[in-house]
Formats: sequence, C-alpha cells, structure tokens
Amino acid sequence: MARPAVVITGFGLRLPGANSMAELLRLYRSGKAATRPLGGELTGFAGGRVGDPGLDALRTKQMDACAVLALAAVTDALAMAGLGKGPGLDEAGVYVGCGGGGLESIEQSVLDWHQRQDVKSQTLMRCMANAPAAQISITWGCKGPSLSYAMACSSASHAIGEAVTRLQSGRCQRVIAGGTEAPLTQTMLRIWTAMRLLGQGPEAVVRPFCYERGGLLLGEGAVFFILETLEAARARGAEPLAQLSGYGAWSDATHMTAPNSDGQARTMTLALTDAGLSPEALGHVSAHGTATLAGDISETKAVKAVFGAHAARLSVSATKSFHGHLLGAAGGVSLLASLLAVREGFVVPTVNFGTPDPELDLDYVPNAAREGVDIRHSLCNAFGFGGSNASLIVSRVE
Amino acid sequence: MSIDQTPSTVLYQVVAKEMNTTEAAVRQATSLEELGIDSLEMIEIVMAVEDRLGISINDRELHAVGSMPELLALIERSPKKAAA
Repeated sequence: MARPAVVITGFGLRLPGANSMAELLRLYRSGKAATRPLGGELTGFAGGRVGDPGLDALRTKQMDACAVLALAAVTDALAMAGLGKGPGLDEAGVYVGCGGGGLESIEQSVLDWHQRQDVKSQTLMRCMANAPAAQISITWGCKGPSLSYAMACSSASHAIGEAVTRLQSGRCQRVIAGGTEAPLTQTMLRIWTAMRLLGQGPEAVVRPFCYERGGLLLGEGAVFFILETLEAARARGAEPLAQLSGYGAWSDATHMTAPNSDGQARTMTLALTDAGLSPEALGHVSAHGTATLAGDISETKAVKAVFGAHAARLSVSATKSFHGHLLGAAGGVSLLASLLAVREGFVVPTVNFGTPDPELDLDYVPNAAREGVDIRHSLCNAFGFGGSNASLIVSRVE
Repeated sequence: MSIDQTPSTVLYQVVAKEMNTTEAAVRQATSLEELGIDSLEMIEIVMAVEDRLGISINDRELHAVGSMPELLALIERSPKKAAA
C-alpha cells in the first residue's frame, strides 16, 4: 500500500523582520536584510531580533524566550489551518527543533548565582531543552508524542522530517512541527566569536555565496507548520498548501564543525530518492547558506555533485542573508522559502550579494526576488555542527 | 628581562602549549597533521597568536594554510590590529 501523502495546512512565524507571511513577502521583495546592530548589553554585535510587541502577553515566569516565540508561531499556524483546542488536536504530535534550549535563562541563572548566590525556582522549566515542546503540548492539549530534536543548525529540519516519517507510518494524522531558538545572549555571541564564525561589529551583515562572505550573524525566532496526512486534511475540508514529499537524513561521521560535501550530497540524494524524483524535476534549492568561507563552498560542491548539469538551472536562495542564522529554527525558515517557491512561484533572493566568487558558480538569485517562476519541487537543506544533515523536498499540490 | 616576541618564537610556544608538546617538536614539524592540528585547534592557536603579537590574521588566507611554514609566513605578513 502506498504511504500516505503528507501536506502542510498551516504555518506561523516570528522572524527578524517578519511576523506573518505578508510581512515576510514584503521583506523579501525589499531586498534589504532584517539584521541590525544589537543594543543594550549586546552593543557591539549585530544580529536578528524579532519585533513583536504581542509577545509580551505570552511571557510567563516559566518561559524562556524560545518557548514564547514558539507559542506565538504555533498559534498563528493553527489559526491558518483552522484548528483549535479539542478533538482535532487531542492526538496530535508535537515535533520541535531547538539547538540550545533556554539559553537566555541559563545565562541569567549563572549571573544570578554569581551576583546574588541565588537561582530562581522557575529556572529549570525555562532552561529544559524540551520546554518549548512541552509548552505547546500543554497549551493546545496535544497528547501525541511530544519530541525535541537537538542537532544544532539542522534541528528544525530533522523535527519536520521525523514528523513526516511518523505521519507516513499511519500512526498519527496530525503534527505541529517546526523549530525555535533564542540565542541572542552575551555568552552565545562570544562563543560564536571565539569560533571565528561570527560577522564582527555592529554593522556586520550576512553575505552568503559571494566573495565578501565573512561569517554568520545569530538570529532569534520560530517557525512552525501544521502537517497532516492528505486524507486527514481533506476529511475536515482543510486546504493543502504544499506537500512534504521527501526527507533525507545522513551524518558525516567525520568532524565536529567542518562541512563535508560528500555527506551533504548524500543527504540531498536520499531526499530525492524518498520523494521518487529525478534531480531534473527540481527547480529551486533553499540553501543552508551560512556565509562561512568553507560552508558555502561545500554546499555548492554538493549541489553540483547531486544535480550535475542541471545545477546551473536551479535557483538557490539563502534566507540567512535576511534574518541571520536561527540555528535550531533555521530549517523552518528555509522551508518557508521552499513553500513560497512551489506555491507562489516566488524565489527568495540572496541579499548583501557582492562580488561573485569563482569557486561559487551557481545561480544564487543575487539581491532581487523573482516572481512568477514555475517551480514544482524545491529542495531545502540544513547542515548541523556535529555533522548531522537533513534535506526536505516540498512539492506543489497539483 | 626581555621577552622574545618574534613571530616564530610566539608561534612555536603557542603551538607547543595548545598541542601539549615541546617547542623542539614543533620546530621540526612541517605539516599540521603531524602535530595533530585540525581546524578547531587552529582557531585556538590563531587567537592566541593574535593576542600575543597584537595582529589580525585574515580568515580567508588562514583557510588556505596547509603547513607550519605557510602559517608562519601568514603571521609574519599580518597587519597590526587596529586600535579599539
């Protein structure tokens, strides 16, 4: 028996520069990045902040920013899917990618201990890596599996891919899946600086796939999707926005941080095989594209290895140029770009694009969005430190 | 007492300390592999050398370094860090 088709019926986002799809399209059309100089205790650094005054109403003593962002995005996703607390969500699963857990709360608890020899009683609930998944499950009464995935920068993609796998197994009809991260802390910015991977100074921007690329900026945010079997979506009259047709997961098993183009290529090939698609069927790649010296070369090599001559005909978008790197939520951001490609024919540009690098010779959609492009399938990449890779394929619902 | 701050001396001292070996062993080594230096160890070494010599090493050029002599040459041509 053929496995059930899995479709997206809703999504929600809280990203640097956009809290809704309308705002996201406006941002992408503007061609201007949403990363900014950071203020307060983070002065001297740049990064991607979410601007949503509505978040304050969601904050409680028990919640770190990563859980607040997640709840806001999930609320919008459920509204779009036409779902609320009750029978439709009773047995739903919750699959959350989050690389670091309650990073702000961890930092604050250390400061509290050193400055006042006192730690707040809610600290554990704020810090737990599975706190966002638990808060979603509790808030919406989802009693299916509530699972957290921590694979650094590929966490959200793995969470979504594993959710798809469960839906295809027939053991579940509906899942809330996505990623969240709130890494803008004094400690995290210095940790990434020490790795020589962070763009330096308050005016730094993210410049993927061009010669001037000089590292990433951190961003906070959350993206969540409502995933259902096509049958379950149709049974309640919900509109399928796109199909999640392929998932590949593969580990480099070589190095903690160095990208491995062979492992990345294998991951993309696994996703294509899973979707039953030939490389020539794809029109778009939502790239991992971190703007590091080695990472962009590795991904470009891997795309060329998988797609051969067809690679030159792919549009390759790097969303991190707009928002910064959302780490555990990054795969969710990239998936939105894939969704836009197959559903709207909208190709997200790679902004801050300067001088082409001879080693990077794909079509990275420099600086200006493209509209009205006929794309049926889009590949979405996420490669995590530790060598954990995930590729997803989003397909238009015909 | 004057401290020898020539680029080569500083590099050998830093590498010996980071890689838990002797300066003599570092001086004799040509490849990075024989000292066990991978990309993560390299970051530690470069940041320590930058601090000690007050220089700024270009990441793109660092990326192309494959041997100890190449690393020393890069350190010797790296500019002084701009005053903060």
